[in-house]
Amino acid sequence: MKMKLYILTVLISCSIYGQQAAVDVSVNKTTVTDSEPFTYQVTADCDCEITPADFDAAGFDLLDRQQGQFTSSQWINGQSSQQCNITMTYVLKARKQGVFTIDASRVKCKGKDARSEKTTITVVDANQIHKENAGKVSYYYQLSSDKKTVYVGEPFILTFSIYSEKLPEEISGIIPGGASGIWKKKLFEEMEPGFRFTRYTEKVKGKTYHVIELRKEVCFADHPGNVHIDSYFGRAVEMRRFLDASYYEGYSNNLDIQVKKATEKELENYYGLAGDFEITQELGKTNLKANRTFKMSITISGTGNFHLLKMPQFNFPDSFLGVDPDVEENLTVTEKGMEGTVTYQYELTPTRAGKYHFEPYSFTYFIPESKTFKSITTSDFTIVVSEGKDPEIYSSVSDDSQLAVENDIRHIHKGELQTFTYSDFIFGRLAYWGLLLFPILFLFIFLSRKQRKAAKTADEVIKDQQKTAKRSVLKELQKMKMTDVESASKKIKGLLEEYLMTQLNMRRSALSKSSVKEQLKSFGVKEQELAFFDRLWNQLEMTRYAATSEENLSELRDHTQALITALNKTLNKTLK
Amino acid sequence: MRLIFFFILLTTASVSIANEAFEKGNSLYESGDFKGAIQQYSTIIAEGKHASEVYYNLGNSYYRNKEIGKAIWAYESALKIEPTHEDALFNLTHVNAQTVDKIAIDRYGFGHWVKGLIYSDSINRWAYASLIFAFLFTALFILFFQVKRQAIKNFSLLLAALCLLGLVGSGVLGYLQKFRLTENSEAVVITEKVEIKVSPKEEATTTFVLSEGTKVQVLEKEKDAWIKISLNGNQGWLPSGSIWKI
Repeated sequence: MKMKLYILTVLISCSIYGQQAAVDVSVNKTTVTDSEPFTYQVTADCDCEITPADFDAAGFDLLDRQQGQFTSSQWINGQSSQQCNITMTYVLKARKQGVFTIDASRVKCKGKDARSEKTTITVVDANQIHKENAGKVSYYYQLSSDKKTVYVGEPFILTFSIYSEKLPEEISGIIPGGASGIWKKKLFEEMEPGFRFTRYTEKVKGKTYHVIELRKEVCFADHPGNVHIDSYFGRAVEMRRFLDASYYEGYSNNLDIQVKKATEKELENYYGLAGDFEITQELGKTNLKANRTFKMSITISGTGNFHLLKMPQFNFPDSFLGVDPDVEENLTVTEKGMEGTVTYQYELTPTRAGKYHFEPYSFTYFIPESKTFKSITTSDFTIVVSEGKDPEIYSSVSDDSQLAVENDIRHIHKGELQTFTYSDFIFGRLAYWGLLLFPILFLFIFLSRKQRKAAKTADEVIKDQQKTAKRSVLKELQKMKMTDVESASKKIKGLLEEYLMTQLNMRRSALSKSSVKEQLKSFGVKEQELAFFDRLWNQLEMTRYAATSEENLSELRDHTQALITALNKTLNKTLK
Repeated sequence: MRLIFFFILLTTASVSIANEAFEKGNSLYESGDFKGAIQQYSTIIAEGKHASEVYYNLGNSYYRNKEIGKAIWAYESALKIEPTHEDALFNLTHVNAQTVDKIAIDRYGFGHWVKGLIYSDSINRWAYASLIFAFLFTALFILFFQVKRQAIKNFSLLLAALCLLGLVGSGVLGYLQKFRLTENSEAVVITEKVEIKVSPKEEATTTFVLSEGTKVQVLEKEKDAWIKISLNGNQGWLPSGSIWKI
């Protein structure tokens, strides 16, 4: 009885458990550094609705979220079953160091609720881990800066490197860490095909590492204060195997850069530019008629944080058209910062007469080497516009209107309409296939006939020749003209000989009256026909030595035809 | 004879009706009656007649009528007929920029070049070309067997090979064009928002939400007013009324 009760209890609990909503939570790492993202994944049945834990309350920032779905089917004892699961993957990052617990995630499936287990994550200092790893582990990544303290606008170089005992085969990925308040640009494109990385060896705590500089960036801090640069992620191929590879992957340390103010004072026209700049101005004709174009260009050249450069501002009156300049940048990135020129080209069209005066364009910049400030300026200028008689079509207006058109959709198309229906298509119709197959079929027949002909035996060839000769000799005789008596008699004899040669399979040298008669006899030719042949042969022989009339010759031809027709009948019967 | 005359008369009448509706649509568009223009252009399509210009003008009318999804559908349909339609490409890019879901569309590269090649001639011309190539190939091949001069033999064989290439090429290009024109494997979302479900049920979990104008791949035929679609590898079901097949 006890045993029965036990089995019943087990069965009931199994069936209850089978109806329960199930949820599974997993993380890719339980110990992470303070700047290292990790994934938190919730898996449940497809019919379930997932409510994730409150990551914010647990001290984590949500960086990304992805949803996936997979189905699996299995056959057991001939019975199939399908399982459908959805996964929600959250990419999280800790805000500070410590031990944090992420509360349970919840799912609701067909009205039933389920909760996952709580998850504990230990967050450690990235820099501490980096210090411990240096000189101990087989590889690690490092982020370094050439300066720890900089002025606003002063360039500094960030270098992201891999330290490894063994040289990696390939660099497969770099993800830079976030940094607010700085502007940065790569010094080289490391992922370009054929790029050669700078590498050298270095001893760290007695251990020799190969060092590869994976990325170098020139940076400018735009504001004073502390700039925090998060860890960079790197992945390099340690070794490639067939359909597999092992990787050196991981996060670097993070960095803090102290950014100082260049000055405490409020300087006129200073808005953070630093470096070494020059300014040049080119003015076109300043005396011109209304509606004519005035050209001016301002070029700023040098080295520094060009990204902060502001466009020159002039108080052009409303009667001036095309006041926005074309900007042409010709800049390259160097370790000193951005180097090159920025040119502002103006094409202005004053539409009213008058005298217009414009103030110069100027700015102040900081020189980090000497810790001094310098102001540079263009000259002020005056444009004198007189009344114009023939207003030209000024380019700036047409440019603007063109811009307006291109900012909208293009106009409808008009004209004759050429429509089609799907039934217009010839492709796939029976007639199309018929016409397409006809030449192919014809070719097939041609080739098969040719092949059959090539495969014929010598006997078959002779039979064919005999068949042809039967008809052709008779035809030739029919067509013969009796004008030239001598040649006609020769031809009749020749045709008879040709006929006999092919039908009796004899060579010309063996062709004599007696031999032909013997052969004809062997083929069962009657005595009467043999006698006819004998007479005809003699008559043809006679024509060679004695002249004959046209009538006799015609008679001779008719007799030859008669003989051949008679022989054809007899030989046909024999051959069958 | 009467039957042929009647058929020609019927075809001409049908073409002129389409032209009439097209011109009427154009004047309504220009007068600002975009709904009227849509109606006129749609009449042509409803009759089973297709032309890239009809879809293009219809796209403009939908756009002016503030129906972005339908405008994208119309431009995509125009490009299906004529992939190198420059104005349709321009307008589609312009309208796509106004959609919520910014999904990259490949209109360049080798694939686009191949499409251009397929549509470089009309479908029937490809059919005629394939027939001519078939006859030429046969004639040249027979010539190759019949002539005795080696130079002519070689030349005829080379020409026959080229004709065979032409036959296969025109056949494949024509077939691809017909297949692309008649298949409906793509669609555009025409409603403002549509929820993509994991199964074809209203109460099923929503996997993602798509906005008006998004182009999707149709995976299965309509089933109980639901259609299975795919977008960038994500699959799901949506109500069939929320998309228009291209």
